[in-house]
Amino acid sequence: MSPRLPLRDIRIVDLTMGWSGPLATRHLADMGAEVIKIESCGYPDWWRGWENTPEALASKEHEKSPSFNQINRNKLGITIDLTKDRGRALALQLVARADAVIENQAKGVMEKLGLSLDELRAANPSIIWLSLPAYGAAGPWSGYRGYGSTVEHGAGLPHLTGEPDGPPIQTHVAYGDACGGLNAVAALLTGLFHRKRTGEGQRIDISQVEGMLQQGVHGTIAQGLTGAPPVRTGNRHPVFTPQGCFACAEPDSWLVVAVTEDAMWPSLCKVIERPDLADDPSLASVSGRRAMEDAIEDAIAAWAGAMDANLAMTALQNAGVAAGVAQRPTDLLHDPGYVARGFWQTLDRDVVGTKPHPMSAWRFNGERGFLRAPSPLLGEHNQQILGGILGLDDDELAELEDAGIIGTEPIAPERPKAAKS
Amino acid sequence: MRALEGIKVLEFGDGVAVGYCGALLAACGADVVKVEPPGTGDMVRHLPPFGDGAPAPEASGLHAFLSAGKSSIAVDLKTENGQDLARRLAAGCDIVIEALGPGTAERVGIGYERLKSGSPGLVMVALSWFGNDGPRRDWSGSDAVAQALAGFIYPIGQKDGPPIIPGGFAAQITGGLTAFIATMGALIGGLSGDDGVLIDQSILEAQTAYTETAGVRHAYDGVHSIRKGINKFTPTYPQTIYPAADGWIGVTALTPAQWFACCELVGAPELFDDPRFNTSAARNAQADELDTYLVPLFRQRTALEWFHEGQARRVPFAMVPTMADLADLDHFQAREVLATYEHPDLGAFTAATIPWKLAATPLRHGGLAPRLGQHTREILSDRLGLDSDKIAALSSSGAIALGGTAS
Repeated sequence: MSPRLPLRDIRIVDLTMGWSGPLATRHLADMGAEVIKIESCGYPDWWRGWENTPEALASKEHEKSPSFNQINRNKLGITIDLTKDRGRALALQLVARADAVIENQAKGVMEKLGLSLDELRAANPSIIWLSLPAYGAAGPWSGYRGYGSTVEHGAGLPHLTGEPDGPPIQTHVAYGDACGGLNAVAALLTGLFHRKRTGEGQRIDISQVEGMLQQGVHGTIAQGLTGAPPVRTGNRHPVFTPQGCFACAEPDSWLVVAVTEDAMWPSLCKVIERPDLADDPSLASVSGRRAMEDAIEDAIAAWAGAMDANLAMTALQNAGVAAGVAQRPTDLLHDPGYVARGFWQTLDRDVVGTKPHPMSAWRFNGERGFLRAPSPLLGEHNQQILGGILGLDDDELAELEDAGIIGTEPIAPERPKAAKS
Repeated sequence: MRALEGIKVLEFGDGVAVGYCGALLAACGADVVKVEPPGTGDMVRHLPPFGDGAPAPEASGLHAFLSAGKSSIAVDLKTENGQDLARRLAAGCDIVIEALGPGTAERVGIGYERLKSGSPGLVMVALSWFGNDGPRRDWSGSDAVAQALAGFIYPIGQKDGPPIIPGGFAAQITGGLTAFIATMGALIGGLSGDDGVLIDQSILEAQTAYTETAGVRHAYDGVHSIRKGINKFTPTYPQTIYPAADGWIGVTALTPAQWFACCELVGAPELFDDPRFNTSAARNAQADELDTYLVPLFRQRTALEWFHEGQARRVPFAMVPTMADLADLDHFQAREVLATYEHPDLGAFTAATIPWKLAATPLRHGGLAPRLGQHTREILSDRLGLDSDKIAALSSSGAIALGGTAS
């Protein structure tokens, strides 16, 4: 039986696609909100896959995307062609019965679809509308577009990582997408709280680049306070030492070691079997160790190089020293820490079968967000939503399908003759 | 009006994560009181960047940012009187956030079970590196350790070299942000009549937002993540940073249309149809070779020129601004991305403010951060009705410290 979830009386109209917006609405859905995800047969969520050849569509590739399937669980999926007047009218009828609309289209798309703030408010005066373009909804660059990488670049974040004389270094996870989604859901929940207290809706403008800036906020603080950015220190830490990433015995296995407090130092020396270092009083403080950083790192490297990374991590942690294996993202499914805390659960879904889901990172009274339904097949809930909420009867639904407003099969776009369009 | 007007928050513990969660609540209008140990205060007060005025604990710009708009009360939770004061303060609060370490809140008498007996609606957030239970509960963490275990750093770096650790406190920022998300969900539940809740928020698990998709993908295709080279994003290319004439330009060109526009823009239209580079997968496989063409081309113009011209052709280029550039760029100025933070001993400085723009309930931008214990007397008097004799006695017993005088 479904537990009583905190957002059980919240309804969201979700026009987001890809990673950022759908991560935001996954949090809402995991907390119990009714999230109505609107796609269209001609323009399905692009996270269902890039490939839209007739062959790919025939083999239902759009229902096999790992990323789409995990991030859209617990949501209801419908298709509406928003470029048609009747489609737009249906969307506005849903807006009239919703608490919030969230979208991550490029700036101007909502207005072009006839879903401007005024039009949304005409349908529902207390609606919340949240957008999250890369550079925000206003300002000279607001029309500029970006992927997760662009967002990370645009926030200057790579300047905060790497060697002092090396290039700026980006991460490899489309950082900006997930970060934008987290900022979006945080702001949307703030707006939903206010709406529930006062009945007032509002416009919420989230810039993904600005969300990303918070990840490197120490850089802006240093610049503002001291007139200079933080000095890049490679894998070393600017405050404590030693910190590094050390090769272990297995090929391409690595261990991060971080002596974040002086008290960890003698414990580290003991584990790496270098009591002589612990006995050296000059190394008891950060300043002393900083002067001997190369030699200390050599000592750790010599020990780690003969160790299994996981055993080395456990040995250090058991002695009170902060350490962590640099796992591959693909190792997380079997990581004992995640597994023991129930981070991964599984859910069966048409087309792909039983697959793992990363659960909510928060736990309420020990429980993670409730896994109640797999991600929707394209148009899976047309009848439930348009019939159940808007009251359309079967004839009307069939007629909408005939008119190409709704449907359950993607429409293959015309193949571009050249890529120059 | 602020969205969280009237919401009272008590914040315990060290670190950036809990401080950032509290900072988000404060920026949204909540009344946040930070409970700090006398003498040292939150360890964030000992983290750089430092101003050149007073010594620690009143010198940290990071503290000034994280505690803007908060009050500070210095209470020693190792004393019984201190624990009693903490409980009485919590009884008047809607939210308690703590990062004392798993089990510590219970040990000092402010665990959730104890606090909720008098406050059934209390939302309590326990923030920790590895969570309130599990085999790693008592392990030590850091931003680098959390990012390593979450799979975040493995793909960054040279193929044959070590993974690269990002600078800063990003894992804790994400942990604090995720804790805020959970807190807001619980607050909304409270408006529906739900009882209070204990939120268990692991920083490691919050950090997994960035890597969990790769874990799921592996369950479908069995393919492992790889590390290919610095700024060699995979599996699509270019999704990288090139040196421009004056700075750095972020270049992303995934779709055929973007790749076509990119080739035209850099004056190398022949690359578009070149079979070595004509699909995203081919460019990824031949990334080093592609760079031999693109690196010299991108050096020819400034980052801003590439940025604007790329975006005009709908290619997601981004100038990679330095921290100094942020203050000078008109877009960031127009959006007031930087705000003024203040502390009595540091003076005023700018930093990237919490950036959400809620039209009807605007956030507080910037603000004044407290000295250690600056509000001890005021809060004990106003909230608990303690008179000056009682406060003096608590102070001389060491249960509290009265800060706030000019140093």
